[in-house]
Amino acid sequence: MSRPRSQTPWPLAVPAVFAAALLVVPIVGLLQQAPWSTLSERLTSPEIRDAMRVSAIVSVVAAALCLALGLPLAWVLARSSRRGIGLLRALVLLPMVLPPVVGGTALLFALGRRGLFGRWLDRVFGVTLPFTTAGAVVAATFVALPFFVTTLESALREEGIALDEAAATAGASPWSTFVHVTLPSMRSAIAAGLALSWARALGEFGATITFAGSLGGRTRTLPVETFLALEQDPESAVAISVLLLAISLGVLIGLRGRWLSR
Amino acid sequence: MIIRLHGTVRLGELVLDMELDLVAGVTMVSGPNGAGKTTLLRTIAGLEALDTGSLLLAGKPVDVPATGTFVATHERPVAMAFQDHRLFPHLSVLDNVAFPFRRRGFGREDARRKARPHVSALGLDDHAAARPGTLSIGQRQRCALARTLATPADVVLLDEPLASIDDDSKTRIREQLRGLDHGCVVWVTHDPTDATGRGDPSMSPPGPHIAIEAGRVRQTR
Repeated sequence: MSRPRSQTPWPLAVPAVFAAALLVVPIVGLLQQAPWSTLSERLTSPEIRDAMRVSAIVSVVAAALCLALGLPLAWVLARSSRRGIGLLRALVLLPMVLPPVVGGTALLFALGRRGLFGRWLDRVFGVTLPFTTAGAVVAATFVALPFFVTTLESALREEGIALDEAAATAGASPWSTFVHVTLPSMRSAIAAGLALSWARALGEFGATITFAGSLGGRTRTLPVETFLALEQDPESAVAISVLLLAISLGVLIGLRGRWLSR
Repeated sequence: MIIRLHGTVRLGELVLDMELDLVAGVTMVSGPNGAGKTTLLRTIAGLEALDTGSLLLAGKPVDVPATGTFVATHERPVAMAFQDHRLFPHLSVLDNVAFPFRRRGFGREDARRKARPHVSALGLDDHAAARPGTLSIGQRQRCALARTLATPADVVLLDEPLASIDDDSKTRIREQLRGLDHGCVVWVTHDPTDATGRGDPSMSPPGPHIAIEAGRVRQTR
C-alpha cells in the first residue's frame, strides 16, 4: 500500500535545509582539507601513536567501568521503588548536560590531592588521580556513564518484570534471575550502551584536560593531541580528526539497527 | 492441608477477602473478569503480599503480615503458568523447560534430560530446539505449561492454561491437566467446559471449586 507523498510546507523545508547544511558542511570542510596522500604517515608519527595508545586504554577501560558500575545502577533505577530514586536518576543525567570543563573542575576538587576524597585516597592508598592515566579514565567514565546507564535503564524498563516473575516462580533467586534471564535478554542494549559510552569516552576533552592535563604518553588523548596540534601542525590535527570521524561513523553504522532503521 | 489462606489483599481498587483450605487435587477457580482470579494466584505465589491474615503452604507459614513473615516466591513450593506465557526469549523450548532444573543445581545436560518428557508430553518434540519467538501462540502456551509442570512444587498455579491452545489439542491437554498428581493444582478458567468437566455441563463436576464474587474468594465445594 503506498500513500501519496506529503508536501513539506516551505517554512519547515527552508530551516530544515539550513539545519542539515550546518551538520554536513563542517564534515565536508574537514574531508576537503584532509592530507589524504600523507594521512597514514601522519597517523603513525610517534606523538599520534602515543595519543592513540592513551586514547585506546582510557576509552576501553572507561567503557568497561561503565559496564561494571553502570549496569547495576541502571538496574536499581529501573527496578527499585525506594524514595530518592527520582533524584538519583536526575543526578545520573547531570554529566550529559554539564559542561565537561565543570565536570573536570569538580573532579579536581573532589579527587585532587587536596580534594575531599582525594586527600583520603592519597593518605590511605597512596593513590593520586589528577594528571595520571587513571585520572583520565575517571574523567572519561564520568562523562560516558550516563550514556550507558540511560540506554540500559530504558531497555530494562521496556522489558519490565514479567520475565523476572516467571523466573521466580520457576525457582530462580533474584541474583540468578539477573544472571540467567536479565543479562542475556539485555545483550543488544548492553552492546549499544557500550558503543555509545566508548565513543563518548574516546571523544572526551574538557574534563580530561582539566582533571588529567596533557602529559604526552600518559594523559594526552587523541582529542587533546588534536587541540594542541592545531597551532603547530594543523595537518596532523586534521588527520586525527578524520580518524575520529571515521570511528564515529563506524559506531553509528554499528548502531543503525537501533536508530537508523526506517 | 496444602494451601491454607485466610486473609485480605488490597491492590488499588481491588480488595480480595480470601478463605481457602485446599487439599491435594485439582481446584477450579471461576469468576467474572477483573474479580481477582489472577490476584489470588499471585498472592499464593508471593508476587503479591497479604495485607492481613495468613497464608500457609504445606504447613509452613509463608505470608503472615502480623509477624513480618514473608517467604520470597523462589523459596515457595510453587510453580505457575502465566496467562501471557512469559517464555525466556533467549532460550530454546527445551532450555525454557529445563530452566527450573537448572536453578535447582542440575547441570545443562541433566536438566535437559529431565525436561525432555515434559516437552514430549505437551507435543513439542518437533520444536524442542526452536526459540519462543518462532512459535505459534498455542505452541508458546504449551511450552509455558511444560515449564510449569517441570517445576518441582507442591502447588501448581495455572492461569487460563488452555486459553490459547488450538482446539485440536485442547481436549487432550485438558485431560492431562485434570490428571495431574502434583499436590495442589489451582486452575483459573473462564471456560465452563474446564470447570464442569468433559465438555458436558450436565456431568457431575469433579473436585473442589472456588468462586470469586464481589471481592470474596470462597470454596463452593
